Formats: sequence, C-alpha cells, structure tokens
Amino acid sequence: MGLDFVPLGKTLKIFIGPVNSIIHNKVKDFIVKLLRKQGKKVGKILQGSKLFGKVVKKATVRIGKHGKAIEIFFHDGSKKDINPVRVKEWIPNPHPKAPPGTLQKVEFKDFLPGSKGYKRAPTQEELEILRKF
Amino acid sequence: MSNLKIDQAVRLFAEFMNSSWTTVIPLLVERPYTTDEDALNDWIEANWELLVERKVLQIDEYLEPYGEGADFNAPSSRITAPDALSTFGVEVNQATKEGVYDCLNDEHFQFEGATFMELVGFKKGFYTKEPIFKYVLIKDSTKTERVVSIDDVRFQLYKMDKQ
Repeated sequence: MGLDFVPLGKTLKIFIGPVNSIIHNKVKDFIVKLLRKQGKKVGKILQGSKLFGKVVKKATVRIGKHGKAIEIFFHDGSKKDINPVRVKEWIPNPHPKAPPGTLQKVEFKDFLPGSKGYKRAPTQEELEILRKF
Repeated sequence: MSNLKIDQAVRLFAEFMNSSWTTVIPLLVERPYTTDEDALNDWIEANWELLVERKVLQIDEYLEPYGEGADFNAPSSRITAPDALSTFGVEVNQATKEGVYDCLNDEHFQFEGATFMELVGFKKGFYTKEPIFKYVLIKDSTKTERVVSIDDVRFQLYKMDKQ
C-alpha cells in the first residue's frame, strides 16, 4: 500500500537523465569557451573585435532580402545595421529620462531619397566588412 | 482630401494598433531574414500606407513614411510603391489655443506645425513603442522631442517637396 512498482529501466532513466544533461552542458560550455579564446565566431555572435574604431559587443549576421546583412552592437551603446543597399545607425538616446539601452536613430545628411534621413548608402569599408563576415 | 480626414484617420490608426498589437507580435518576431524591429516597422508602414495614405490621398499621392519607415524594400522606406517619393507629410498642431502638456519634459508649451514622429505609449516617464498608443511623439521647431496626449492635438496634412 502506498508503494508503486517502478521498472528498473525507468529508475535508471530518472537517475541518468540529469547526469546526461550536466555532461552535455559542460561539453557545450567547454567548446564555446574554446572557440571564443580562438576569436572565432560562436554561432552568429562575434565579441570583442574592433570595427569602425569601436569595440563590438555583439554582431549578428543574417541573410535578408538583399543578401547578407549584419547587425552590430557596440560597447558604447550604439548600433549599426548594414546590408548591401543601405546602412542604418542608432546612438544611445541622450534624453535624461531615457531608460538605459534606449536607442535613437541617427539622421544622415547624405540620406537615401524617401528614407526620412534614416538610411544612407554603405561605404566601401562597410561593404568590405559585410563581405568578410 | 481634407485635414479632417487625416485627423480622423490617424486616430483610427491608433485604435487599430492598440487592438491588433498583441495579436501580431508573435507573428512578427524571430524572422530569420530581418530584425524584430524592422519586421514590426514593415508591418506598421504597410498598414499606414493601406489604411491611412490610401484613405486620405489620391492614388498618385504619397504620405511620408510612418515613424522609422519600412525596410523590406530597402533602400526604400515604403512597402507599396517602393520607388514613390512622399508628396504629403503630417504635421501636428495644438487642439486649442491653450498650452499643451508635454509629459516627456514635464512642461506646458505652445507650438505650431510640429513634426509628427509617431504614436507612442508612455511608461515610467518615457515613451514606448507599445500600446496604449494614446500619445504622440513630435519634434518642435527647435528639434526637441516632445510627447503630448493625442487628445490635445490635431493632425494636418502639408504638401512637401519630393524627397
């Protein structure tokens, strides 16, 4: 009464399951650390390198409608998004009440027509960076 | 085309965004080809063009893109007619002659013909791009960002040089 029969296989699974998960996570962490040490891309993220004179916090590459695109977050809180046909930039919002991390779009003088000033053509350097990643 | 129409259309657009926001967000986020922010801006711009622009303008006239504009047809900021350049913009005026309260900078002020940036929510002293869209982010003549209640302003069209 009150005691259920638990088959041996199920008992083993109950005990081995968490152990498997711990081992898997440790191996994953080790590989990620190793790749980071070597300065290689980990998934889609690259940290610590310098681009446009600023230290990269995170960079994510994607394939968009116009080909490769890269979204780069910098340590100074700014952000840049480059694809082969346009560049958009953001800076930390300077308003004293803006919560940390709030961004403000950069308005360009040499903006693309119809973009409200928020898009400009990529420079040669930006296209080169896009090609490299 | 009339100013009354654009005023009504922007208010209905605010209601449309308030009622559909939570439904569409799961459909817009985590798309592999774009950022969440751009997917959201694409959706807003598409609706701005189809619902507001096509309601208040003639077929060969175009409104300035809403907020940051779309990115789907980059370098254009439009979804429909990506090559079209804006022929009309939306400006914001005070509804009465009395001053309007700016909740972002916590002050009453007078203004005329401010630039319409976008409809915003307001939380913890700052504007948000989330419901409830009952505030308007504007830029005054000194390019200062201000947030005012949608009830305190009127939206009007102005003709703009193609840009």
